[in-house]
Amino acid sequence: MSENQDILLKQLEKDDERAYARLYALFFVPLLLFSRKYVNDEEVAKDVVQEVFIAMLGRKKEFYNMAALKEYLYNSARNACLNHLRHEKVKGRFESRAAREGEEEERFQERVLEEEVYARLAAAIERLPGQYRAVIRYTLEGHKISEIARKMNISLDTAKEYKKAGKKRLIIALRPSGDLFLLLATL
Amino acid sequence: MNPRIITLFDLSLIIARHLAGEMTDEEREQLNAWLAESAHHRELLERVRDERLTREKLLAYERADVEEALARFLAEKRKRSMRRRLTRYAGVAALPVIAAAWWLSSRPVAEAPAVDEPLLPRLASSITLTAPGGKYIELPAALPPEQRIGADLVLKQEAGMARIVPVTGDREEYRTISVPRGGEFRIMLGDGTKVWVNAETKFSFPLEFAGGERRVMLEGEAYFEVARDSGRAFAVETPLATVTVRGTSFNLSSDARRARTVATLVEGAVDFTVRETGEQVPMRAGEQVVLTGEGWDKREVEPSLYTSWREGWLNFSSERLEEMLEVIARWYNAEVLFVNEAAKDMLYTGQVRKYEDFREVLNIISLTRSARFSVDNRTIIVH
Repeated sequence: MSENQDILLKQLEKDDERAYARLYALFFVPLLLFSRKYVNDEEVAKDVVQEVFIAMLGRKKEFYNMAALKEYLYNSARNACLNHLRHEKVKGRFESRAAREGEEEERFQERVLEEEVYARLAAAIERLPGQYRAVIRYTLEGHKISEIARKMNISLDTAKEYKKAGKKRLIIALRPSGDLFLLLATL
Repeated sequence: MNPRIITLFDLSLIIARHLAGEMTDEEREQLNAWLAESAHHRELLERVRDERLTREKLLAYERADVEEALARFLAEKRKRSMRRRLTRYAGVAALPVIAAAWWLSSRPVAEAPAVDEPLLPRLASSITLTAPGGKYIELPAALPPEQRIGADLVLKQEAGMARIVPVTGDREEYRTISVPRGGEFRIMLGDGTKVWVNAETKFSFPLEFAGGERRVMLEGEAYFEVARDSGRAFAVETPLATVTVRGTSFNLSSDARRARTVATLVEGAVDFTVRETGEQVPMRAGEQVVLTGEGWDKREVEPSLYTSWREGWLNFSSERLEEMLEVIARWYNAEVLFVNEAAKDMLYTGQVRKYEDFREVLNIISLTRSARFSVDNRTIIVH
């Protein structure tokens, strides 16, 4: 899979549209959810994410790997959010910068981590075949297997079967080596 | 175990696997270590374990209109590239910014590894040229414009490459160039084919090609720019495979220790033949064939990653830390000691300048906080 990443990073260096399409598919939602935590507004968050990608255009981009790229994206999104909030500060909605600093870094990391968890989960689920996908989603959302069978209009045994097989596939999809997201430590 | 060797991104995968219901013992240990670090971490895990949050997040993924957002972005991108073309026309250049530098500077700098003296590669003792009988000559460290070597050969320099020209004797006789660790040799063959021979490689070639075929032998790694000759194919034999070409550029590496042969085609077309089975795999530009004990596999790659060793880089693509450090250590004549066994399996992708102080290399790796190193004399200790 890492060859795909290499190709993606090369395309990105050249501002190839295919690279951005891929970046949107992979990171638009996690970055959106991440930014929404800072700015508390869906539309503003959308603008922030767009701003992050626009800022990459025409600049030299040399990412060693996907982890470096992600690190950059989340950092940029945070900066864009904080900039936005700084403007809001005039309206008295933003706490003083000095009080924030140390805590901010920790909160940032936790927010990245949280979004990354779901980004991986969502991407792995996305790759499951239809029926498995539905059963796994419902299961992760806390539904009982009998409810799931009823919702999907299938027998309890079939639902159990799907759950078992789907879980197996999900776990495989989440294996470091099988994961397109596989994040390599940076060199 | 030191939990700091895990990156945020490693951790997110572990937690995702935890939510999916399967973790390895090692992952559980890493997760527990991270949880033990702070109450914040425990709260965070509690939160992501909440099924309602999972439901909301997954719903957000489903609802988000990525297509629309992408379309908006691309429209803006096209508008800008139009504008930029105009700007360039007016003679105003935009200032390039190195992205890699931003993200490095935007994070706290990791503790520098404790290395006191520069750790530089110990370069080649010497490159040798061996005749069929086993007689060998050491080649001069710097290429002379022209110099007699041995009784019957002249070593010349042409466009930065060595040429070995027979004066007397059998012109079709083979010679073997042996390049030791830390060395590199560029040679132009009798037909004008250019060969970049990498470190720890043996390369055999005839002083002059005769007959209907051009055939050379390789153990190790080399990059070939084959001179066009429509009449005669050019064949490179490795212990396990043969690559046959007409006029093309490719990188071929055969690693005897790992019984692994890798051919990467930069341009043109070649046939990769598996010695044992006789299978013939046609290759096109941008393709790579990897032959191992388990058979061969063809895939598309970015060739530059596999050929940039010629420009002074050591390259790694999803390489385990253990294997990567082995390669680096061979280059720098160092030893590696893993105190932290778990670190062996971490995967790395990237490039390292070959002639730099090794300290710098370790510094860069430690920046990721994925591994920490100390160096004692020429032993690298991984914590």
